[in-house]
Amino acid sequence: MPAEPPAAPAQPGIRLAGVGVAVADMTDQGPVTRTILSDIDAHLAAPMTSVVGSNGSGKSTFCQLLNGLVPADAGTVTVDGLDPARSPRAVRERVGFVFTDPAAQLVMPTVGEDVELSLRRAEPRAAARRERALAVLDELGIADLAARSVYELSGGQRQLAALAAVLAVDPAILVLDEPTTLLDLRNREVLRALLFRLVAQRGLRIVVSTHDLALAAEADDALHFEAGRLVAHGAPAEVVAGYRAAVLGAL
Amino acid sequence: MRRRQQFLGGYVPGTSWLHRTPALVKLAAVCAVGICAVAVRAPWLSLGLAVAAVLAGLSAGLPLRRILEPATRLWPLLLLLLGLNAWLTGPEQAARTLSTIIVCVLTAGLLMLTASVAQLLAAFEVLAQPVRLVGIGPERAGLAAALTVRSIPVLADLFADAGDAARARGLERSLRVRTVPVALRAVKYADDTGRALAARGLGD
Repeated sequence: MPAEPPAAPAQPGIRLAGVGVAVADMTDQGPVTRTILSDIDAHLAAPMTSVVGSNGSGKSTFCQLLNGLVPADAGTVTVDGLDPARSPRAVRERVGFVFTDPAAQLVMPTVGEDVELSLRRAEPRAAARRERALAVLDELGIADLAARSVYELSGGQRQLAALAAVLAVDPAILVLDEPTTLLDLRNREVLRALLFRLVAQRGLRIVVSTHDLALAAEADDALHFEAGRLVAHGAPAEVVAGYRAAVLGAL
Repeated sequence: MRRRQQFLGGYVPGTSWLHRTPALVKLAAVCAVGICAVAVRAPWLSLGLAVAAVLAGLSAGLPLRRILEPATRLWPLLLLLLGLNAWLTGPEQAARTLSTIIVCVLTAGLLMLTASVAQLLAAFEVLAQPVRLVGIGPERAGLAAALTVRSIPVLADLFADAGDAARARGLERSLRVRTVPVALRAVKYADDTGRALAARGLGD
């Protein structure tokens, strides 16, 4: 049963203005500040946005900025008009997040119970929670996994279970940090098709960081990060071609 | 993740009367049986209660092997206790102690076989209501309990992985090689779990 499309926000889109993120680090020479992201300006409003870049380029930090997991040290981030620093709960209800390895994301012993855990705040009645959890699992085609132990799932099943737990609370935006990295070809294709179906059926907006360039090129908008900077933003085919050329040119 | 039985021992899904009985009621029954057995300390009463527990399990459609498993798994310890008690306090006292332990273990096992971890945690949240007095939400206490349950098989997997890696390098006797990766990965797991809970809005 697909959920109702989320209500349109007053200021739709994710806006970043002059955003920078830095972390304190300790070296032999003493404490230093390492820049992870700097001077990021972007407006994301497309149904599907892909984020590409080398390992360590700042993609994951960028994704985590979007639901307030990482605070901006400089500049401003707004998600549909909400500031993640000032309204973290409202932003997290609006922005679902799926990690590369969902092992740490699944808390309860079975898939069904884990999805129900997401609904605890929204649905106090246990029977209704169970029904909604089953509906989400059915939507993703994994209703048969409801009673399965999370310890017994394959990588693809775990990724879908983590996605179900996030979708259960009907987020308006879904951020996925390299969701296909640990998946085989078949599961990558299943997830890819599912993401596009969620955009079409639920009206979800998706931001996906990925090394899967075919998936990145199919999005509606794309960003390319290198060394903590946004070096390209625009049509996915061009952004992906530019990324590929930069990588191959450096070899 | 390795294939591993859930901690708190293998819930057997079902719809029997015992499965439908609320976890809090079953927990109260386990406590009542335990208190009775310890207070009276009569072998005939304990063994009677143990037989009643087995019959209750069988009537709920549970396999006899699963019902007896909590006690049969402990047989070396039970044998040791029987021997020690018989030697130190005599056979009558040994029978009292052993029968009391067996009935407690069997009834607790019955609870674990017929209540899922989620049901147990919901019961825990009800029992944890008094923690509100010190400013902690019972839901948060329940989540902490869930994470504790969840982390035990994860830690066991980390130890097994470290053992495999040490063997692959021919360093199976090195305590450092077997423990340092576990400590580092355990910290990372805790960090990842914290971020994942925050991302799901469960830590707010």
